[in-house]
Amino acid sequence: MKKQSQPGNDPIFTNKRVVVAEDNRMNQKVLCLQLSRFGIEPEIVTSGRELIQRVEHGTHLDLIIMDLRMPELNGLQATLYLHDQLKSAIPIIGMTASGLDSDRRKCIECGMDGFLAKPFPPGALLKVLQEFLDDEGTDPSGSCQDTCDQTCDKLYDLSGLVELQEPGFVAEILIGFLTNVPIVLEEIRLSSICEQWEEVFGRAHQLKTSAGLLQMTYLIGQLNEIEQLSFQKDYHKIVETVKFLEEWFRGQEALLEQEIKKSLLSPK
Amino acid sequence: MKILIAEDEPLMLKTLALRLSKDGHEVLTASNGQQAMEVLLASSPDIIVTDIMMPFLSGIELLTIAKKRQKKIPVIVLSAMGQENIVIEAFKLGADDYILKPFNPLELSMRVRRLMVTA
Repeated sequence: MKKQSQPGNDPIFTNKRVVVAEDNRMNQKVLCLQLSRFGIEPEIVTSGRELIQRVEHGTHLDLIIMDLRMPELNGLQATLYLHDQLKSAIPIIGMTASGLDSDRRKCIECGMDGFLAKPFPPGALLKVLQEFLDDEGTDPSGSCQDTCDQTCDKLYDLSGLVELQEPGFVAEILIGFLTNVPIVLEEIRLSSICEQWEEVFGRAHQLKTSAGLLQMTYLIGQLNEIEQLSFQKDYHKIVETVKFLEEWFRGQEALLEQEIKKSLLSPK
Repeated sequence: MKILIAEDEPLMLKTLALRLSKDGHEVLTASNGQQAMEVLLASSPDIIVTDIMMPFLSGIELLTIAKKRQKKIPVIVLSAMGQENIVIEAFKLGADDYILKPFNPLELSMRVRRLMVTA
């Protein structure tokens, strides 16, 4: 049975025990939200020390998802302790700051089973879950870092705009986009509070068009979901998704600002 | 060629307008269906490129009116995923081509060029 990620048809891992080790409350919430989509209600611990206590004294666990930077014992130290002292075989996935190759290397070197570069789309998370929680087992040797790289690294594609060869045009579009996204997300939130569902749909649809210009497939997917939720008049899920997207977008801003600089500095 | 582009998303409109004017076309833009209608009546474009979902007057309505006015005017419809039924509707009403968003602006260039050859 092949499990595919489709809206409303996500694979479910309800009977699996997952622990999230993360001290940042916002990140905890985002990850819980993402995991809930796949039927998982994770336990939360907020430091490496707490994680070790949980593994040592608690019930069986199927997967650990752990931030590298935590108070007391950090993610790498905790992993070493789990392996060396407790002889734990629970798969461990490290969460790293996006783009830090050194962090990714450290995860693998210290014996983690894979990593997710933050912020990661649901697709990347799903691949990890399928690899480590799927009883039918996909390919145990399949390296999760490859799949993560594929899904995380292609956040946007500016080639369609660059091809126009118009000086400063990429920057102009990106500046418009950066200004626009927070405004539209706020409009979607307000419209859903006021139960103006057509407006929610309309704004999400419009933003999808500009996300399409930049080929931001992840954002497009999330906006598709908001469109669907507007039909279901699901106020709670819309507000949740908007909040998640705002956080996610903040993580992308620096990257897009770099592209603006690049576009303005390029001789063409 | 004189091309009317009707699209309510400003960044997309700007990009498509730049693409087609770089191809040497005279470009008329409209950011909603109502405006597109006014341009259509005032300037008689040779080709229409229209988004489906637009405020005031949809791309489907614009298509219907344009074809009633001048049966052979080529119309390209821009649609998003999940609007496949509307695309079929658009073809029934005489649309000549459609492009699924997101797309590379170059694809629009090619499709316009093809319509110019067959028109």
